[in-house]
Amino acid sequence: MNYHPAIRWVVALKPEAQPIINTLGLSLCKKENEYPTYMDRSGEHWLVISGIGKTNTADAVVYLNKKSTAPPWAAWINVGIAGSGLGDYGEIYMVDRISCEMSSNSLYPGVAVSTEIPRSSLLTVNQPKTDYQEQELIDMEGYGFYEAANKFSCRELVAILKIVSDGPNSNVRELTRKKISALISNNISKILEIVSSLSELSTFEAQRLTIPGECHEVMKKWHFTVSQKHQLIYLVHRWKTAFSGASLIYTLGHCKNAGSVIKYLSQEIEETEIDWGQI
Amino acid sequence: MIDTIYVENDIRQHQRTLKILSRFKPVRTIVIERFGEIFNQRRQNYRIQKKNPALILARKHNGHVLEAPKGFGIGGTKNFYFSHMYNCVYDCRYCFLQGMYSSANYVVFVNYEDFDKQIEATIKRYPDEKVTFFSGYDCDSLALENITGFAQHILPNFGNYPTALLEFRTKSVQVIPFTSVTVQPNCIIAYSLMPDQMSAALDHRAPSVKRRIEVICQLARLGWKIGLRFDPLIHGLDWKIQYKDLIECVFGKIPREAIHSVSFGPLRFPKAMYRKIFKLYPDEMLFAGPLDEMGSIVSYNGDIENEMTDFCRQMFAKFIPDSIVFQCTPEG
Repeated sequence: MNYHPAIRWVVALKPEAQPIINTLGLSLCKKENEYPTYMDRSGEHWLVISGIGKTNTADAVVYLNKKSTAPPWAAWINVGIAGSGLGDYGEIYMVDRISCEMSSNSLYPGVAVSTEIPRSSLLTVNQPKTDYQEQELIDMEGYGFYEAANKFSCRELVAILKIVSDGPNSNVRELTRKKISALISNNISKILEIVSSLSELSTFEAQRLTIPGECHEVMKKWHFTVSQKHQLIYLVHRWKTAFSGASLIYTLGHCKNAGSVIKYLSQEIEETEIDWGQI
Repeated sequence: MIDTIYVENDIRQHQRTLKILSRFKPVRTIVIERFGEIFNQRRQNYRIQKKNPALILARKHNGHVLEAPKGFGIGGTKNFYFSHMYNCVYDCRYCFLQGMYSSANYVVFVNYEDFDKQIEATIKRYPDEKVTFFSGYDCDSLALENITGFAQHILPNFGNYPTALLEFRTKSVQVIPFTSVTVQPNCIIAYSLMPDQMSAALDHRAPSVKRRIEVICQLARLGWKIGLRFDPLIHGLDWKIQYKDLIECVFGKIPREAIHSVSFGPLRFPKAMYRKIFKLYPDEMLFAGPLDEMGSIVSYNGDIENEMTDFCRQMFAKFIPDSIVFQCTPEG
């Protein structure tokens, strides 16, 4: 069985999104959308342009989750520009701590992806801020994005990448669409490196969370109650592991109903003697 | 390789925190208020975290010494455990820690002195009892020793309490804490063992059984008392031959006088814990075996359990007296 990763991009501005859209060959979905939404041919990558601010971003996450029918193993990524008090224009960071002006709680995205990209904390603000002080990173979306995305996926599958666009030595007013796109383009290979790691983790999770295909075949052939379906899924996982390579439908050929399927599988597993030397 | 360390603000400047951090440079350090912010978060993924766990340095505020669960013991009348650490560097598929915590990150409590005080208070509370302390219940007690130095800290203290017994339970082949201090007669180094084939399939990232036995022999030669822990017993094809070979090998190599005790126990999970672990590893071979729900626990069926425990007890009887053999039967 092939397991497919799912990547969901949330980007505030079109100039930030454009290099990603170009690199991945994404196409705009029909114009009916509340938020401009793009996807690739396979449906693995979806991207939404949220607009500026925490609320817009959180709403866009909810929107994209529904629109793309994101599976529970989808990885969510927010890419965008940010201010920094450290004066490191053009540098990309992976965020591992997010705080917010309006809340005393900090949020901690997962750190399971090992990367050479430096990590940083992020402050999400409600209004543009030019008093950078010693802040590592300042944006207007990160907190809202993470809070919303973490409702749909585990923290290890939610990532925020920020590229420094303004600071004490780089005036935010001098930012143009072209400059913003260039900041993203210059870091696209690093962004894709993270996405590749997330994609691996997403596949890993898809494998764990996907109901074995054989269950659907069995459920088509016999009628199972909800409780029996749960039992069946549990038993099929175990049976497939114990009898790797064997055909389940063939094995169950003699069964008359759902009850006898469950009884037969339970019996087979009960009699299993695992050959630990073969593992 | 740990690349992220969360540090509680309260213990940022603790000498042990600084010492541990100095062993990791360069590493990303993130200051937090309480370890629960990271460790107890909702919607985190144990299995993914296990690929690259972070370290959390924290202060333990209470519960330094806790009563051991019923069915857990090696002859003492009062059994306690303490955990300077939550979670384990190894990834053994039968381990209850997988179902106990939602995070795979390692938590190390740096205030060892508070453990010392609680241990002392517990011993004083039971002056006429045979008190046993187990280290390595919520972690492997030695696997991160080169970073924590906990065994090296706690070992000499037990010299002051000759009536109390301390067990370090481990799969680690780390010998330094035991080669750098004088032998403590009331300290047992207890090794978890199972047949090679099963261990190779289930004890991920842990040293091989062969290496563990080599280290046991080394420590026995130095005079340390050894505990042998055949726990859990794993069922499979030719299990009798495999356990017979293992038991004969172990008792053939380790001098009888070095063996403090042998314990063994069936594979058992509380039902809720089993379900959580199964969700994490639905395609794990261990769970494809003949496990049954029996009341509030999941275990091999009674016939298998009895056959395995009877067989092992008979095997042990060939080498050691029954008085030092203990069966651990965790309850649901």
